[in-house]
Amino acid sequence: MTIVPKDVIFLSESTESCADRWVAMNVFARTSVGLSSEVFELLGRIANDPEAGGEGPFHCWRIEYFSNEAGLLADPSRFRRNVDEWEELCLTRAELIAELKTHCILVDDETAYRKRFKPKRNLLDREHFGNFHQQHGQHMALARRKDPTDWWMRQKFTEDQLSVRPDTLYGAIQSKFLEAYTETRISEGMTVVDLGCGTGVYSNMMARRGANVLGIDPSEEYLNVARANAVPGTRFENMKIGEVGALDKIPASSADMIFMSDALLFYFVPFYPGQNADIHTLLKDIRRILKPGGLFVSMEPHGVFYLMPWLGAVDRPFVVVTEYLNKSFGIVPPLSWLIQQVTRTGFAVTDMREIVPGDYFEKIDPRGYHFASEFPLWHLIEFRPFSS
Amino acid sequence: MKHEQLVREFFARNAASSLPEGQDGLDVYYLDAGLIDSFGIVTMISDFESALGITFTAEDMQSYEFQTVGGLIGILDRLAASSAA
Ligand SMILES: C[S@@+](CC[C@H](N)C(=O)[O-])C[C@H]1O[C@@H](n2cnc3c(N)ncnc32)[C@H](O)[C@@H]1O
Repeated sequence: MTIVPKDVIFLSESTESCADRWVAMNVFARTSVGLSSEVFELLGRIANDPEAGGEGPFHCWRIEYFSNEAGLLADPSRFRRNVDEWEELCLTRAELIAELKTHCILVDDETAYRKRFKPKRNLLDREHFGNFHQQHGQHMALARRKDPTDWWMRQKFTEDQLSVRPDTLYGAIQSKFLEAYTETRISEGMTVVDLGCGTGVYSNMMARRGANVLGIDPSEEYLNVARANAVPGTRFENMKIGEVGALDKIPASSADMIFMSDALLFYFVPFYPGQNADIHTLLKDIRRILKPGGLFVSMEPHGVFYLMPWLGAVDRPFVVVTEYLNKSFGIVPPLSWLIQQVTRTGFAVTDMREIVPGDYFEKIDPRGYHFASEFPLWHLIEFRPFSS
Repeated sequence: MKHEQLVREFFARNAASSLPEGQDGLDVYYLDAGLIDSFGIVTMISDFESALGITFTAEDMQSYEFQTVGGLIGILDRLAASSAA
């Protein structure tokens, strides 16, 4: 029997120039179709009357796209907001049903449909939805043919790779916040280890505040950029963080602060299959390297709101959360997992911030600004070791 | 035949284990069988495209046929024929 799964919501997208338009969105599959009211009505009746709505022709619109192609912090809602960009289709009944099934607005077999919410088996697997990393990897490799490392750097940093792009939420949230935070937390002569430093932009920021910063990353590609742009007071080294013995070269009780940004999450949802990094090994190393009374700071994407669709009016946002404890799509651990893993290794949480964008961003991207001002996209947690 | 040879040569050069002769080889799901991994497939795609002057669409690459050696050869035949036409 052909039905609309309960996972589908309908949003009104009528405008003055274009009355009678709807978006049908499958919030689990993250797929959407634009509909006219006769299709909306057909979908309301089809479960009880398979012939409902007649033979057509029917109007609907192709509006779905991989919106995070513009950046990991771009609007993740995956449908074109601008109705002028919608691709209009005029379809027979059979064509319409096929189009709606392609986007999971209609399904024939609910059991089979639910089985699709599993990890992708490989890069070609389109049957299983997989998590965000897998979807993104598939899109980049097959649809866009882009090198993921190069793509990641461009979507986050300015052309010269020296700073975070101010026209993205990375800039408005992460970078803006860290500018102020490092001012209060970093003092002249402090020793900081930046674990998973990537291209070193935040290592440099901390060095400019007077810290001696050791940036560590397992990727030589990122480290090459970090070394080329290193400011005085920084040093960058390749170590396989999370593997036993990898950080042995860093002396015990040598750091006032250990900093991680957008890196701890990979210990909960592996970045790639077979990733060989263990959180217990990492935390033992962190405890060993920190001076007594030192600080472990982790800034991560928010466990609830990161990559959730931005819905509602620009200035009255809402979000539909489809999962929290059991991740099928998500790539960030629930808050309690993150905190418990660390506290069980002998740390206490001493502060937590839920970080919102700077006001300047309202002019650049009002929807992103209002969404992220209500639903924080990053948090920062401070941990301090207990004296044992 | 030309395309079968091209594909067999690619796997001979890049695969972790060898591809059986004849029909058995054509039936292999090369990713599931672990002949190549996700990095290998990206190389494979660009190798075939530059060798034959073709472009796979996203639909080609995510089709059922693309996953087997024989299916892949069929897609190469079709794309090469339409790019020659
Ligand atoms: C999303 S980037 C963040 C980079 C940088 N901290 C920033 O905020 O711009 C994640 C980084 O973690 C690094 N990484 C990979 N495996 C890691 C591991 N096991 N432990 C820590 N970092 C890792 C990657 O190479 C990459 O540079």
